[in-house]
Amino acid sequence: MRWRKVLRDMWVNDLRTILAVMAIALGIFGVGSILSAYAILTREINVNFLGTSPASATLYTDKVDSALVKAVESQPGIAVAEPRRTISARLLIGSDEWRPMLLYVVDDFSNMRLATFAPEKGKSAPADNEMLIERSSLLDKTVGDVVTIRTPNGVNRELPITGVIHDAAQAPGWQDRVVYGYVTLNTLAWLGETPEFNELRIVVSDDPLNKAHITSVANQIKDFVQTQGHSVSDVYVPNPGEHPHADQMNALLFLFEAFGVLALILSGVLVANIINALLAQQIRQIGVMKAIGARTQQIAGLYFGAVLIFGVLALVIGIPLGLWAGRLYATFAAGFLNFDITNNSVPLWVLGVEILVGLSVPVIAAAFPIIKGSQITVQQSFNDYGIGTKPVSVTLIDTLLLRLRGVSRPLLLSLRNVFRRRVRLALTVGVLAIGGATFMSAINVGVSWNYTVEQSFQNRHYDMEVRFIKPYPAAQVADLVRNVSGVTKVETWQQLLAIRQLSNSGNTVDGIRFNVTGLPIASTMVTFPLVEGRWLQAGDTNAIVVNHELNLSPDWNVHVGDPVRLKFGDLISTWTVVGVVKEVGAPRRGLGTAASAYVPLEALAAATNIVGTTTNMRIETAEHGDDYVTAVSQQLERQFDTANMQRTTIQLTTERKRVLEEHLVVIVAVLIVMAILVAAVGALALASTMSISVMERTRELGIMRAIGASTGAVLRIVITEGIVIGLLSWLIAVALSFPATIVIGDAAGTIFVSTHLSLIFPASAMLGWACLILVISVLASFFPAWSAAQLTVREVLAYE
Amino acid sequence: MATHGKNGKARTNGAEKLIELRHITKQYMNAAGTFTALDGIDFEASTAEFVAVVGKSGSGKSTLLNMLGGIDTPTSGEVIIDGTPIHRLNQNQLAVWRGKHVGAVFQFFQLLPTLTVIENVILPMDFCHIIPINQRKQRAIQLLEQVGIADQAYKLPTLLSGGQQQRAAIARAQANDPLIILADEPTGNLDSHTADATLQLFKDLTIAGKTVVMVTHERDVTAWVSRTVTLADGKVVSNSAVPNNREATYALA
Repeated sequence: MRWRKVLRDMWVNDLRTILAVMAIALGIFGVGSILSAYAILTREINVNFLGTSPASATLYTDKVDSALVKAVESQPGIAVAEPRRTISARLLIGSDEWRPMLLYVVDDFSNMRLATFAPEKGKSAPADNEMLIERSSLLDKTVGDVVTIRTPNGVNRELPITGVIHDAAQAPGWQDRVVYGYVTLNTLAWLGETPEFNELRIVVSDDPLNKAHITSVANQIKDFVQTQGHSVSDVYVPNPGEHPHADQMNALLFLFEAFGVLALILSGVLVANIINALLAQQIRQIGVMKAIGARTQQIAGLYFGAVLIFGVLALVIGIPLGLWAGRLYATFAAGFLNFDITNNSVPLWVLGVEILVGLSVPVIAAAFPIIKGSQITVQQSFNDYGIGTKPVSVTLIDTLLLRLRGVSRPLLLSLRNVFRRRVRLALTVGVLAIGGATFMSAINVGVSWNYTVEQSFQNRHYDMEVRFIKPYPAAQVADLVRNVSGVTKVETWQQLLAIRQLSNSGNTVDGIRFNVTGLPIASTMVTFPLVEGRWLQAGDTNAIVVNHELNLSPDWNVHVGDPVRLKFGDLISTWTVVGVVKEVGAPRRGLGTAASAYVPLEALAAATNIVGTTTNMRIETAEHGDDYVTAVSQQLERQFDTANMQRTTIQLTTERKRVLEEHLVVIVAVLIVMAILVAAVGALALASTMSISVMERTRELGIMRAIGASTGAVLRIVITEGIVIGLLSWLIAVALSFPATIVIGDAAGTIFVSTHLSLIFPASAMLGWACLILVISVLASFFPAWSAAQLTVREVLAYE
Repeated sequence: MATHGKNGKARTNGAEKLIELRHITKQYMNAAGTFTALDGIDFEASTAEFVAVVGKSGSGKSTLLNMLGGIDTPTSGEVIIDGTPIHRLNQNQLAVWRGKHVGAVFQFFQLLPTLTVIENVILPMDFCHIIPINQRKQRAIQLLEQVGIADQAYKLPTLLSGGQQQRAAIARAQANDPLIILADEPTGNLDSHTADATLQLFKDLTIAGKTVVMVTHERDVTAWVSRTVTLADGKVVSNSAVPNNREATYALA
């Protein structure tokens, strides 16, 4: 019989039942969506990325032939060995507009055993003089289109795209603005390059995710290759099993996890709030039940039972919604990382956790109000009637509110009503404030990111950068460029790959790899802010200034004043670190890291014996607008073509800035979506608080009607109360947004540019949220206010 | 204080009809069928009368009071207060009308707990905008002085005794200087000494020209009222004047 009471109470109080179920469903939704997305993403990244059988290591040699490949494959610890070649080339995407491309040359497309790909459209193996492209590279090109490409030593060649493939090991080409192409060795010859492989890619047979083991095996193979009469210029061991954009996925997952935890907390808070109000309405009934013999435990059992039923109902709603959102997010993240969701099923343990959350969170959240409510005595419950019969404790806030002068009584009522149920107020304000802080932080981080990028580009005083595929005589190139109208200043630089040399038990081993740029000491093209030490100065010989990305690298560990040995090609030289600069947005250039360093051009020439050539130049133009610089760059393209100078790209500084700005767009978008969801939850919390508050004060509102309050007056009183709660939450949200922005900004800065962002807290974020919270407050309190205004005085006075 | 009709005409004739209920029937529908709370009753009250409506629980006396205050509407019949047929007004119009014409006093006082005593008294003035803003506080203090609790003006209601709360409620009922005070069991929650003082306050109001209609079921109030109307099963079973009190009222009016 008592369970019948529970069910009927739920049926009669349909609005409260719906609110309670929605609140629990929210928590299940949060946890379910996170766990589903996590389970799908971690599984699918393995299926996709590891499914390509990525190479454990790559050895760069003078030449790789089939005999060497066979010999290496027979070595202990080696599962697979294959030859490859990677060529930096360019692809024409408009008149005089080129895009950098990486051309992968494969020995036998029909028998690829490592670094494989999945065909999507057309052929999976190109014939000679054909090309496959990676699907994320050229979103407007497909099978049958003919494109023009040019390799360092070749001429412009037109070749058809005969297949579109999915290479899950590549970061999305659209994001890095690179085209990935796949050709045969014969095509390479036709393009004008020597038809030879120079990379030996290997997969180790044991312990494939252990970098130390892989490095050891790779070094053994290096020695073996050298014994076979080949030279090895470099051994590259990537982080095993790690997708090139794993850091971005981790950032997104971190945000999503934060949202899941937030949803769980908010759900608990809402449930506690609603159950508290529900019990307040049941006090008389608890008294009656006790008067007819019910024990405290039996009463508590009844309400815990009700909460469990809410939990079961919430599971029915929350599980499918969480699954849907998790799958949606996984698909979104997969697109961002260039992999496919092959199977979006979710493991059973996710379901188990959801059920656990759905049943335990409401029980835990409701435990205090239930235990407290069920302990009420018969006498206490029967004394609970009418308004103003309960003693009101007078706090500082009450004292302050009592001193308010010059405010109308209806407004006073709204203000004081806000502070009547302080725990409920704190919970509601807390939920709304978290939503507001998330919203403002999202905007703050977005603005701070752009400001940081803007600031960093103010340290670059050139309008474009030209990267050549091979070195050209510096004086000749500089003269050629100076003759282009609109060019006001030119500097020819040298950019080379350096490999740090470390001593290990008497042997020299390779350490971190990074780009070293040689530039004139008097150069004014860059003025990076100093973090430590000093910039290059006249008289410096083997001085090196490293950027903050290199300085922070765990593989660096060199301080200002320390010497460091670097290998350029086969030559080793010693340098002294004189300073550290902050270089936000240094290009990654295929290394996967933005670590780089600057040295005097003459010193680099002396250390490498490369004198009088340039691979990299910086150009300043008379005007700095996009159109003007683009026009100058197109003239330059024609000049370089005429002079047959092969360049990877001419990159406009403004374009580079845009690419960097866009890196955070997705993160900010996710944050804003989260903020909107949390704000929606806040609106739900406010609506529930207001409806509970109105329910509790039904008699009071009736009395106001009885003494002359019009419908408008009642509406105004209740809606003003909602607005006051909203504005209170705004104040706290503004305060919370500062630490939240610092935490999120630091996380975003560290993940993407290895430094803190220059944080900005624009007034627009605060004002924007103020407007939104006003709208939310009015909307959330309108329905309860309207219901209150519709009650007739007779109904109200009869209300129990 | 002089009382005024809806056209501003001074009421000097105490016999003028202020309240008229004509053939009022009120029926409620519930699962058990139709319940008749008022069964074709007529009721009248004149200016400065103190009418007690008595009867057992369920006799219809509270329903009758609700008709007078526009809190409930009749199934049939007419409710005319000071010339206004209030049964034709909607809920919103009724709320505004009530604020101007009727003061209500309840058994459990029903002061708003978050407002101080004086703020409770000013609240109806804020709702109805009859009393100019700069006079509201002064009027509230005067009203509290009349009921003898001006020294409690800035306290929250919960800090007052039951009798003091009921006095504050009576002061609130007069906020907009209404013609009619309706009181629903106003002494039901008070001890006999405090109840007597409250009844005396009502009597004083009628001397000042107000019409008081009070519902009660528990005690003999003939010492204070000018007329007693007895209800049973929704019908008026007796309507008897209390001569001495009536004379006393008119003599002072």
